[in-house]
Amino acid sequence: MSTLSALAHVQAMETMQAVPRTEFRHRHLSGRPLVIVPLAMAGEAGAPLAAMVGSAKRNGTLLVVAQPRNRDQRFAFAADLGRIVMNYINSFRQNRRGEGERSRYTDAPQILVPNAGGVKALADLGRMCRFRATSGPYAVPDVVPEFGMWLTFLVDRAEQAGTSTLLPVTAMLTEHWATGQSTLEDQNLASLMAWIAPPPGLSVEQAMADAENPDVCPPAGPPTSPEFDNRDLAPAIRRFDTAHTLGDPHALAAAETELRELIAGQIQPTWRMVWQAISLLRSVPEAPRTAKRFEGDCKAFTKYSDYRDSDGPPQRKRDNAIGAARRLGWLEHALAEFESDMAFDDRFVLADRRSAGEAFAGTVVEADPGRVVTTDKNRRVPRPRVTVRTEDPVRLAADTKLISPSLPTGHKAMIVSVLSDGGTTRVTVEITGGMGRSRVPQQGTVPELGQRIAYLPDPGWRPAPQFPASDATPWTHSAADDSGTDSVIPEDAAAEEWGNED
Amino acid sequence: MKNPVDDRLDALRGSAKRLDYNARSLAALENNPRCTLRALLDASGSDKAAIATHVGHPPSFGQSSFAITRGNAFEAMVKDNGCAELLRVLRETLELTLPEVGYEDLNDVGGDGRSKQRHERTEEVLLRAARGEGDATLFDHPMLRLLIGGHKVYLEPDLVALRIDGRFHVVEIKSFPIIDDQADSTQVRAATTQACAYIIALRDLLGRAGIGEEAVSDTIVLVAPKDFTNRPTGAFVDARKQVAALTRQLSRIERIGDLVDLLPEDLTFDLDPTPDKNKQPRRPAEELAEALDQVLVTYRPDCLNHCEMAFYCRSRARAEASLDVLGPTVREQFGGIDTTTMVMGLARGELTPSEDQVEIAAALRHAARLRAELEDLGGAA
Amino acid sequence: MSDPLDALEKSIGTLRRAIRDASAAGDTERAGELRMQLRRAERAWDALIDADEPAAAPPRPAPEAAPAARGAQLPAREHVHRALMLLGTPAAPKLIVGVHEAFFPGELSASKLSSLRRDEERSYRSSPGARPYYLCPALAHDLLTPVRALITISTWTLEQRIIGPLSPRVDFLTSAISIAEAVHTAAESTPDGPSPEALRLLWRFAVNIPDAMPRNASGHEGALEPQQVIGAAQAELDVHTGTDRATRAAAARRARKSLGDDGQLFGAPLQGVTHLRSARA
Repeated sequence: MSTLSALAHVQAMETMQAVPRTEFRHRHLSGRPLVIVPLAMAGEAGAPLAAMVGSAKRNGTLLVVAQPRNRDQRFAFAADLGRIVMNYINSFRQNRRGEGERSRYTDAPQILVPNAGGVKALADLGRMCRFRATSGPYAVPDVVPEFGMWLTFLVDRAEQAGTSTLLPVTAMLTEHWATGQSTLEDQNLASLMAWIAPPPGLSVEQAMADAENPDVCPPAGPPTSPEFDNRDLAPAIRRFDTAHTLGDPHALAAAETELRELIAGQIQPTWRMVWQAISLLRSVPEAPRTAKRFEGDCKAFTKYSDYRDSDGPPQRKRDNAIGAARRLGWLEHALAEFESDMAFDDRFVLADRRSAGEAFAGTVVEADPGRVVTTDKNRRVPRPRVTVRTEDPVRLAADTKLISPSLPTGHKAMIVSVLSDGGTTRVTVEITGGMGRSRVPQQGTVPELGQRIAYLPDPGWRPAPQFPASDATPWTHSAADDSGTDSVIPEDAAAEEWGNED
Repeated sequence: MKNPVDDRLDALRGSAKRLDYNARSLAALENNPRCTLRALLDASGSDKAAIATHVGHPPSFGQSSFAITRGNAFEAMVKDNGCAELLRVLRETLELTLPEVGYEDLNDVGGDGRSKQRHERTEEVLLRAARGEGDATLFDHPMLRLLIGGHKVYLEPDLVALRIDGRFHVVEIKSFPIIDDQADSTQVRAATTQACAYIIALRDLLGRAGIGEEAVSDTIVLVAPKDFTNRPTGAFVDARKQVAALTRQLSRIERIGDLVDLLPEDLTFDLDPTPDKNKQPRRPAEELAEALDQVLVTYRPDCLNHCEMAFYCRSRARAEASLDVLGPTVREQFGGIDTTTMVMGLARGELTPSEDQVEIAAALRHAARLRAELEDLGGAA
Repeated sequence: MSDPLDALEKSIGTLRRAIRDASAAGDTERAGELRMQLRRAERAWDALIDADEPAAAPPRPAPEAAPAARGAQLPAREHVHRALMLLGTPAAPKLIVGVHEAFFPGELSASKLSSLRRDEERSYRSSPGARPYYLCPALAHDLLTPVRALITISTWTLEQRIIGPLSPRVDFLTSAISIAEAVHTAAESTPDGPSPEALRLLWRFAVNIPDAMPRNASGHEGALEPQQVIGAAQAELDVHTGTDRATRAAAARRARKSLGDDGQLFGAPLQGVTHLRSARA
């Protein structure tokens, strides 16, 4: 964290008001995102309790599992949710542009969940569903494994910085606003919203207190509040079980209605709050480079969609060593690119990097625009040098490659020296690219004396690291002895154990 | 014989019944060892939840009955039918040989469930086993005991396993899943912290009979559901560091006297210092809050997950404009500065930095200038 | 922690305040939802008040089993007896219910079992030997006290009813063999073969016995081979039997010497614990 970011939090705490930390929204926000609010049963990773899902505030569908410990109900729920999500995803598999290799869908799905726990819940659900068999003794509907594989794709993609296909809204909000509370409290959507947009007539203090009161703001999940579990949910599930055992259709219907009502009361406040957060985020202008990153989402979506169309096997349970290393390298690269993109687009983010000494801005105090050097290949090329005086605490070393948001695209430079000069720092840079093809740099491509410019490190294009070819199969491929070995019986045995408590 | 420190601690607690340490409060020792208030309340056996509630900041972490039911059901299932599932797992992890199946039930002594009786029985059985007598490999719910600050604390692990010619292993049975060989790290850590107290107590028990601490492994066996099934799988968790940390914290409790000496003579956290026959009215909340305010606290946001006093401490930190409210990542940026007032004063150049604040003050003024530039240019509202 | 009723009243108060605030802010949607919550909180409060009442009433003495009630219990007793005879070992209520559901018709619940056990001892003490058999607890080999939750039949030998350190495993393996034999018999002699419950029960035993599962199993219980389970269980059983038998026999000898008839069936009383232990030390 930079001093500037930390200061923003202190400012928020002092003024009791959220402080913006970016100028733009750096995440693509679909015109038609699909919101999912998942709830799970406490103590049960694989036992979804309910979900509210829909692509507009007014068309949310509430799905409830009356007895989360029952395997059949669990997969019936997965199938219901799966159908809604797959309808949504399939609606983006319509319009393609480009030919052959470059052909891709023009839009991509976007799933939003309230918090990071929501992503984890979808990851668990994806893992639970994607290896299920659609025939044989414990068959599930066709949509279940398909849904599981898509969820896994979305969750994997969400790990990559700058993507937008699956996001927790708390992360989108904290990317743009700093609050006067801790990271832990920022993970509570209601607490976060209390700082950014407290309900009308309430102070931030009052809204924060309400946010932690499960009666006023039921938790955004996945776990429900223990008070609710013990006071309302447990007796309601018991009533459902009793009605089920007695086979009394009237009592069963009443118990189901009661459960739905109870869960609706817990999930709807979060549902509304997520949509409120979405409209807040819409009011923040989108950063220019977001569109380029969204292209990447469309490409990845197209690629996976084609893979699904070819009936490829589900993603493996865990990457092998090579796959994991390759993926880690790729994620690091994506993070560096995203951070650089944001700093390029957004002076708030640039200021943040400057405060941390990872970028600098200042005035050109010396310039040698006509400098020319001879390359190894005996070519004479322009290599102008300029010295920038800055008050920023520069922590970059000589030979760092730089890019600049203040100069035309393609401008490239390298640090020659960093010298401390009283309270300021003098950074001498050599311009290495972006000056055009002729021997004399094009007009405006070399900074002039007195010009204000900013530089930040070039995240660079790195060649993909070379790995041994022992693993020729794609990482999404699942070996025969690796997939489908989840024995289906234990879960059934489990249901039986649970049924017999005395 | 009572020593003066014990008298002082008793006076801090006052008329309330003494609460002993338990697995949870021992875990808190490790979560926030430097908090004086927590140390004093725990050492004096005060009821933190009652105190926090009385000053208007009741704790909020209840436990869902679903989680409790699930935990009990899973443990029972693992131990059903002569520990059939557990034996399969331990044969895989601990490499138990085929003959090692002996089972000793220490849940009660012939129907007597009192802690003292169970502890005596546990001691007898475990010592016999340590000397290589008897056929037992699995010890179900042994009752261990630790002396903490002169008070007996009973601790009850899910199971202890002993391999032939080997060491005792603490086995923790938890109902959170291990999915594709990975479990939630927070939950694993909490389980490990809890197991550390068992390891220390077990070593203490054997140590009293002259058996060295190497007889107890500092690797615990975690038994938890595999993937989304209800069947258990096992994993080793290295608890060495946490055992060392907890041992250090326990030895600090013995020096609680140093903390007590710093307190005002008449300080007490008693809710009913002058017990009325009708039990009402209780001590005014403001008066109790004043007493609490006299003791140092080390608030961290993650106290909200562990400590009954956390809401009180947070409101105190907020009132003091303490940077503790924002958590360690923000705090670390302002090394040595405690309050937002000081940060803002230095950032605006309204306060003169002390010698060791010069560097941070320069960084703050720089950040403040950047911030002002952004806002002048009409930043996002 | 705090009284649930207090907590509920407090949350009702909070809800009322919240409804007031929501209405004042003109948010009718939220206010409506809060009212729904409030209705439920009130309902929960009612339920708690109701639940408190029976506890406040003086506990009724447990009635001596009336003839009619005893008649109704007879089948349950018989169910348990039949399941235990199939297993041939002391068993926990959960397993007894499992065996019953796998191989026999009729209803039997674990909760029924615990009341049954109390009734058995009472019935024995009022007129010993009036019934052909009694359901009684297994006995701990060292203290000769009743073992938690393990049921046996009085007609079995003391050796069969005593639990030593190795006995839980020995009994598990013996049960596995009995269940595998029952599944085998069902496969040979009934048109439909063993029930799904029987196969699942056998599967749950087999997965925890080395080499009891078919090599290339799909994890499916239909693939189980009862003969293989029997062979595997017997192989491990051979490792434990000698030691286990010796422990059980020694304990049985002591029991015969130190306990009366009732003690040999229902276990040594607790007060004898200290005495017995010091005798052994």
